[in-house]
Formats: sequence, structure tokens, C-alpha cells
Amino acid sequence: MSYGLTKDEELLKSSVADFVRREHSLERIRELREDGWGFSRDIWVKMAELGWFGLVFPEALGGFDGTFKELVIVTEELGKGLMPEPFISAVLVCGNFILLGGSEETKNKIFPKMIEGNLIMAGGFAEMQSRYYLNDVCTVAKEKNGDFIISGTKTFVEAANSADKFIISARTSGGQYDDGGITVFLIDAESNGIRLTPVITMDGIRRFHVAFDNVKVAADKILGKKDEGYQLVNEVVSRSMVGLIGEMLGGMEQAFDIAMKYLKQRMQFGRPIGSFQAIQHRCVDMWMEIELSRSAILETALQFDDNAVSREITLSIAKARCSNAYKYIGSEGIQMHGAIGLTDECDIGLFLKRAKVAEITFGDADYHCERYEMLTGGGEKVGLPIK
Amino acid sequence: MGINKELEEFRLEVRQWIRENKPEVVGDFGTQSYYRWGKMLYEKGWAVPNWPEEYGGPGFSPQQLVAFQQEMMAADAPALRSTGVNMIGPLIMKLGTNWQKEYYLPKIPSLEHFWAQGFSEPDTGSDLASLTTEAILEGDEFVINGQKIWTSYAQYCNMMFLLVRTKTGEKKQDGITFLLLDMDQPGVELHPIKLIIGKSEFCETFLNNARTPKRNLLGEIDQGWKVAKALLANERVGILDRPNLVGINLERIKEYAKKVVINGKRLFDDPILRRRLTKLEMDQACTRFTNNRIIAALSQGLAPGPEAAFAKLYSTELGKRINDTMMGVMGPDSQVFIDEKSAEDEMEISRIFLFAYAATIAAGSSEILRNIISKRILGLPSV
Repeated sequence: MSYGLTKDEELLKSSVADFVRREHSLERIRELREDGWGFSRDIWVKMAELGWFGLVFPEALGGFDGTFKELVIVTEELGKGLMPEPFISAVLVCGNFILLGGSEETKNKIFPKMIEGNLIMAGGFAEMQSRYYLNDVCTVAKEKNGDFIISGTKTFVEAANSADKFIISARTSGGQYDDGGITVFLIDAESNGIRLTPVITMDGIRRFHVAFDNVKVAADKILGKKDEGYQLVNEVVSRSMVGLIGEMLGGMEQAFDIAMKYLKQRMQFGRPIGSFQAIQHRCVDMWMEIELSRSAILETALQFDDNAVSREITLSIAKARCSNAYKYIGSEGIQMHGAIGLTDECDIGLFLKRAKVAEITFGDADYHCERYEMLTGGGEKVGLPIK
Repeated sequence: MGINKELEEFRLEVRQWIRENKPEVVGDFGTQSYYRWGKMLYEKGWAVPNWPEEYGGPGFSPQQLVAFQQEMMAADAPALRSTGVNMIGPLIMKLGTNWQKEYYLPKIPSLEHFWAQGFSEPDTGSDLASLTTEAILEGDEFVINGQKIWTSYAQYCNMMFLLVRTKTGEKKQDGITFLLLDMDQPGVELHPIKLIIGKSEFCETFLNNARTPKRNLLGEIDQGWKVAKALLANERVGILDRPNLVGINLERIKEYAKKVVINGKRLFDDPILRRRLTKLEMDQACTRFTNNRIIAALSQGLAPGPEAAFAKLYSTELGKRINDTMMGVMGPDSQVFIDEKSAEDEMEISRIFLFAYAATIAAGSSEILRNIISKRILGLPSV
């Protein structure tokens, strides 16, 4: 286990940082609100050319066999820029669904295109009523003449309008809350009966409620095994969450940086407001939260690389910490800016908005406390299994 | 692989030795069990684990040192007082004269010398550089007059390193001198201060024409502030790797909560308490993960990064929160202050709870540490 960065990792970090600086600015977040797609296909293909989409996937499938530590390095730098490209949802979530649930044929068909940036997928495992519980699935898939007929609605799906494929969970047996009876399907976006309703969400990223109305899917489009999709969804969410917490770290670092710059330059009462002790001590508390988050994220990534037995516990510790820390730093950041922090023109607000959405992505701090209690014994059951 | 295996063997050796030798309870400095345990460490050659061989240490590699400290902590085995082992010892190695090295260093592991720290004064708390205890060089001796306070365990110490004023300069940091002093002399008078825990961990130290020879000057005359700064950095690092130092072990709280039955229900099953414990456990885990970063750096012989600067601040504050939770779990029993049935070496929870406040005040209060971080690490402007 290595806590510091190796030379190669340093190189990766600076190459992502350079890319974000070159291709992106926070201004783009504001511009993209008016844009129907919500992200840039151009930048998407450029990201693909740098090999990032294959980073955590096996070499045999065109990937780079990278580590979770490397993944966190990449997402941290993307997070600093609030990059709106759907790397986590389209590549981490959907790529892992294909990797862990796809047949050899499916993998060989999808991976090269995905890694090149020519195939975009959208994953849907949340529903109106399910909040963060992955076992709560009402969307039904009924078997009919060897096919499945899917009906139901998946909520807050990223990049759904750009997607060539959807990957969703649906119930093939059992009751609404059962772990068993969930099946994951790979669905062509062209299929009849799919309807998108755009939702404007606070971080500016484009999301959609995706309704499936008697959508026909062939049985060979099942990812993993029928009725056993719950484990698959969990594993995919966990792996993707490692990427997300890296992104959150980058976001909080950048938000903190913005606040610090402002505090050093903004004059009131004849002195920079950053010279007031009431501000300084709060800055130290914010900084500590960033460092504690960094420690937890690094630990999580290393444990995922080692497939350590405690990795899911550590992941929940890290996600709970990051959920609170990112929000806290965004919120203190606005307060320290004063009124200007409330304007759309000021960057700090972008970070609080992203923090609030990242907080609830894959479960908020309360959810992860509950999950931690379940994993460490003695708590009530929550959605995720013990590793 | 070979190195890892060797390290593992070393770790097991330490673990086994502690298991076979450590008395069940080792009390605080000043108790009989403490000296017995210290003597054992000395005879084993492990009393000053961080010292190089040339000064009587075991010459552990950085990895071995980390493993040793982890094993000691895991077994709840106290190290020798850090004032000698981590503070003045390494400082003498770095800045001391040959005579100081030869005379003072061996007496630390052998328990002949226990060092007290004479920095704070009644009017000099966090603003350390404003100290006024005065030393005048008369011939070959410094003559010292003034008062020190919060001298931890001074009643059990026989040596003191202290800061004195030898010159009144333009800047208060100028003209401070770092001296070593034999406490066993008529010019040194101790008054233990009774604390809120009912015991006296600290003393007032009165210096009335106390004398120390010139050879006990550490560093240069009037340049003691630099020496002190190097020392305080050590002191803070010494505390950082002990997330449990001031906090009750969380496992102990859980065990207790499993035994307590309230209205027919196990207290441990109360979801509100459980959530409170979860949050503390998560906070503590994050300090452990931060320690892993620090240890990884130390093991490679590197200086830890800025994460080392907040470990003391965060973990001592966390300790207070943990203690408060233990008090809550104990309920009515938490008010017991002195239990006649307890062993001499055992402290009641209520007193541990109270004593933990010392950790967030001593060695740089939480507020001073925030000042330092905001200035040195965050680069925020001073007034």
C-alpha cells in the first residue's frame, strides 16, 4: 500500500489538471445550462482519447488495468473544475455493469466503443420512492414469449438524452423491498416506449426521469443473472462511489481555494478579512475536514485495490465524511464571501450546488451511517450487503 | 517481501514481550507500577525507542519504530515520559555540547533523570514569548529568579529545562535563553496545584536564586526562542499518534452499553446512542486513516506533510467528545468521583473526563494550533 503518489501517478494527476485547465472553465457550467445536451461531446471524445474511460477496466477489453487510487486521482482533478461530463455515470457506473454483468460478447461489443467515447450509456437504479435503497424496485419486467416487457420509471438519470443504451434495474420477482428478484437489463435507447422528462437539477447537470412503458427487451440483454441483480447493482455502485468521493475531494479543495483567495484580497475595516481570527479559525476547521476526507478517500481507494474485507465499511466512512465536508466547505465559503457569494457570477455558489447533489448521490451521510451500522453489526438492515 | 517478513517477526517479538512482561495496570507517572514498567523497558533496551544506537537507543528503523509504537499502544503500555524521551533527549542530541550528551542522555532511559518543562508562567500562557523569569550570568553560573507554572508532574521530576529572559530586546522573542536546571536545590520550590480532578498533576515552581552552571546552557545565550520552537514541534508530533490518549476506548463504551439494560432494553440497541457512537467511530477512523498517511511518510524516513499539524488538535478535541458520550452511557454512575474500591492506579471515568481538558490546552491550546495553521499552512494574513 502506498499513500504517497508515485512518479506515474504524479504524471497522471498533472495531465488531468492540464486538460481541465485547457479545455474547461467554470464559465462553461453556466453556458451549458442553456445547452440541450448538458455537456460537450467534443470534450467527451478528447477525454476518451486520453484513455481515461479505460482506466479502471482490464487490458483485455482495451482498458489500462488501472487502480482505484489512480481513479481517485483523475476524478479529484475533474472535481476541481466541476467538469459536467458524465464520467461517473456513463463510464464508471455503466462500464462496471457491463464488466461485471455482461457476457463476453457484450463486453467485446461495448467496451471498445465506450472507451473510444463513441458509445454513451445511462444508468438508472433509483425510483421516485426508493431514495438511496437499491433493493426498493417497483419497475417490473414481465417475461413474455422469451422476452421481457419492462414498465416503470427511473429517476434522475444522467445523460439520458445522449445515451445509446440504458442500464436499469427491474423487478422480475418478489415484493417491492426484496433483495432477491431484481434483474439488470441493458436496453437500446431506440426501443419503443421510452419517454424522457428533463429535470433541471441544482448543480446544472442534465438529468431525466426515464419512463419505460411496456418496453420489450430480449432475454439475452440481462446483465448478470436473473433475479440476482441486487448484488451486481451494489458492487457497481460501490466501485463508482470511489470515483465520486474523489470528485468531491477535488470540489472541496477548489471551493476552499476560492474562499481563501477572497479572504486574502477582500478588504474591510482597513484590513483583509482573512486576518480576522473569527474567520481564520473557521478556515482551519474547513481545512481539517478536507484533510480528514483526503485520508478517508485514500484509505478507501487503497482498500478497494487490495479488495480488503473492510473496504465497504471504509467506503461508508468516507462517503459520510465527504457528504458533510463538501457541503460544509461550500456553505462556509458562501458565508465568508458575504453578499457577493449569493450571486450567480461568483464561483463559490457553483460548488455548494454541486456539493448538495454529490451529497445525495449514492446516499447521504445519514444513509451511510446506517449502512456502517449494518456492516459493523448490531444495526438495522439497509440496502447493501456485507462484503 | 523479505523486509516485510522481518518486520512482521519484529512486531510479533514486541507483542509477545509486552504480553509476557507488562503488568495488567500501569499507572500514571509517580506510581510504583510506572517505575517498575519503566525499569523493564530499560533493561530490555526499549526505553528510548526513537533514539539512535550511539545514544543508547535500540536503533530501530523508521518502520520498526512505528511498529513498536503501534504494539505499545495496542497493549495500552505507556512509554516513558515524553519530556525526556521525545523532547529534551532529541534536542540535546541535536544542539547539545558533548558534555551534555555524555552526562544527560544516558540518565533518561535509566530513569535517573525525569525532566520537567519550565515554559509557562502565571502571566505567560499561550503568549509564551512574553515570559519574565530572569537569569543573570554571575561568573560561571546563571542565577535564576521568577516563577513557572503548569509544570507537569514536577513533584516527581529532578531536572527541568526552562526558558528564561537574559535580555530585554526590541522583540520579546529576543533575549530568551534555554537552560537545564537541577531541581534538587534550595532555590527551587514546588507547590502542587490541586486540579478539578482532585489530584495534582501540575505544580507551581518558584525559582529564588536558583543556580545552574554555564555548561547547562542549551544553544546560544539569548537565542533560546529558536530552541524552544524546535522543541514544541516535537512535543506536538509526540501526541499525534495517540488518538486514544485522552479519549476512553470506544470499544469500552460499547461493551458497557451492551451490559446496561434500561426499561427492559439494552442501551446499545437505542438507535440514538448507536448513531452517536457511529459518528464518533467514523471520526476516530478518519484520524486513524490520517495517521496511516503520517506513518507511511515516517516509515519511508520522510517528514510528514501538513496532516501532522492538525492531528493533535483534532484528536484531543475528539477525545473530549468521546469521554462525554461515555459519561452519558454510564448515566447516574458517571458522577462517581473517587471510588475507595478502585486500585491506586485507576482513574474514575469522571476524572478522565475532566482531565482530558488538559490535552486541548497543553502543548499549544486548540486555539493556538488554529492560529499556527492559519498562518503557516493556509497563509492567512496577520493583523
